[in-house]
Amino acid sequence: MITTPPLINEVEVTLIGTGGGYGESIIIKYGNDSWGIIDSCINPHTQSPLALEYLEGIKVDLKKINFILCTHWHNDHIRGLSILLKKCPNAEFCFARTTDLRKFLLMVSLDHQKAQKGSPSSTDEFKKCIDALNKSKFPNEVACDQVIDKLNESGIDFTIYSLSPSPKTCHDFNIEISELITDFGKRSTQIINKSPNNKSVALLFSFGEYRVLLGSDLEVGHDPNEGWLYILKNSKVLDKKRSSLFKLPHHGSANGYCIDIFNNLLTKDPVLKTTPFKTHDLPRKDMIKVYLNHSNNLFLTSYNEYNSKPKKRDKSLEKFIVKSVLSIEEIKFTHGIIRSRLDYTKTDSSWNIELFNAAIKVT
Amino acid sequence: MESSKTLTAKTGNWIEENSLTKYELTLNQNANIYRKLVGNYVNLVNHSTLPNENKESAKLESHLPEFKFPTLSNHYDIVQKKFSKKVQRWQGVVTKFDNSTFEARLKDLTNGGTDEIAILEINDISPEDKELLSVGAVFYWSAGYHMDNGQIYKRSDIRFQRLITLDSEEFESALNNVDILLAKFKPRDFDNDASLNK
Repeated sequence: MITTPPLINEVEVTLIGTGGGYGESIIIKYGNDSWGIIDSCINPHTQSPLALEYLEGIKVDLKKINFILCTHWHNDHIRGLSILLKKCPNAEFCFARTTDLRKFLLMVSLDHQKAQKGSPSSTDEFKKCIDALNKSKFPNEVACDQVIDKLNESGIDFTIYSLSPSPKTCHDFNIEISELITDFGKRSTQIINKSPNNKSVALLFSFGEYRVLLGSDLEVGHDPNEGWLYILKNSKVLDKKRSSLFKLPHHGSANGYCIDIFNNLLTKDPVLKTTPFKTHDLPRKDMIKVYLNHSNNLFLTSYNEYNSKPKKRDKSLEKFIVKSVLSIEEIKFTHGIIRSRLDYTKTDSSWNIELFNAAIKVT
Repeated sequence: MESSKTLTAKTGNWIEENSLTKYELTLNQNANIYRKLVGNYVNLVNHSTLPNENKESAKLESHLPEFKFPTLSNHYDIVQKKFSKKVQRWQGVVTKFDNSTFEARLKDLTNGGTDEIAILEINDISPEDKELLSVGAVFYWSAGYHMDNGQIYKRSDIRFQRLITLDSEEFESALNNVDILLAKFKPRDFDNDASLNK
């Protein structure tokens, strides 16, 4: 159990990652005692959100969680979000903006109705999140250049900005929802968004002279009106100050890599952290080399190793299962925590990195 | 035939053959032998020199020995002809496929916990289900024991999720729900937009 809380004069950026597609979650502490949670993942054995286990371990008052943000609706970022919303009474629920909210909610509602009849639902967690809200607790749709939270304590401004999605991405998503609704009468498949990573909310955390960039799963793409290309060219909230900590986008994949981010937005030798995605083999070895060229501080929440065996069951049944398929392997649950703390009252502080459980430094 | 009917009435209800166990079939065979013997006896009587009134089949009943089947209920409860026991169930979502195989992420519906990833053969799914194969398609896979005619063997079944349609009432309910969900959203606070603050 991790128990040490941060000092009052420290900010904290903690990445909890599981690999294997069970997800990731980021916790930030800003000001004297304000907190935010970005995305959620669960322990598949206990079904409990890992962010909650961590926060309860370091004895954070859950009333101090100001916002819970869902960067995008991929399973590895949303599991347990509604539990967090129920447990954190003052948290605002933030998610990527849609241009036609009514249409989006119609899709959610139809999907829910279908789920009542046994269909698997892809938007169920979102519906649960909305249901968890009440009159004093509203959802907040966010897009590029928007303030998520802002406060001034000890004479220092703390601001969390959203950098995406871009206006074009929001517009395209609206069209995609229309297609999904049209497809609704067709057979039962899980809703697969064509490009949810484009709709990811990347964040800038600004406090005093320091900057932190949280890349979510936002990809670079080829369209200058979307993704990182749009941010690099059009962001109104990025200033000349460079970020000393970067949560690598999309599990350190090549799709999330853009040299201009390193050249224009990051300090020399920044702290880089990411969560591997075993089933997609991310990050690939060649990309690890690329990131190591930029920094000596590259951290992963766990090794990218395979179990290559099915789950343990009754032996004769296990034998039969193995015979029935070409291959079957358990997606092992290992989670690691990369915690970074920094004294925000000093202008020359550096990040103190602590690794827990399966987390590793890559050399 | 007449004597056969009489016999049926005397010995109680017949059990349909397709629901009989091996033991019950043996009993049934015995009954058939008995039926044959009675038939022979009736023929013998009909062709004898007995007065006509004595040839009435109904009157033959009193001459026939009583035949009783043993009570089968307890035995039947224990030994059934067919049963299936699913010991492992998964919900799978197809992640990719080619001409002969498909890959799926499997959620363990029996024990919960961690997921598995499997590659399965398309030939293992039924022709109707093949048409449902697509990325995102949901299927249920069960493995377990099956008994047929006293033979126990392991069995694996894959069934793809079928079409789920909404009737007009359900569609109406979904539409009404939109308003309930919408009521939980506040108007956007444009004062907080950094672009407008600058």
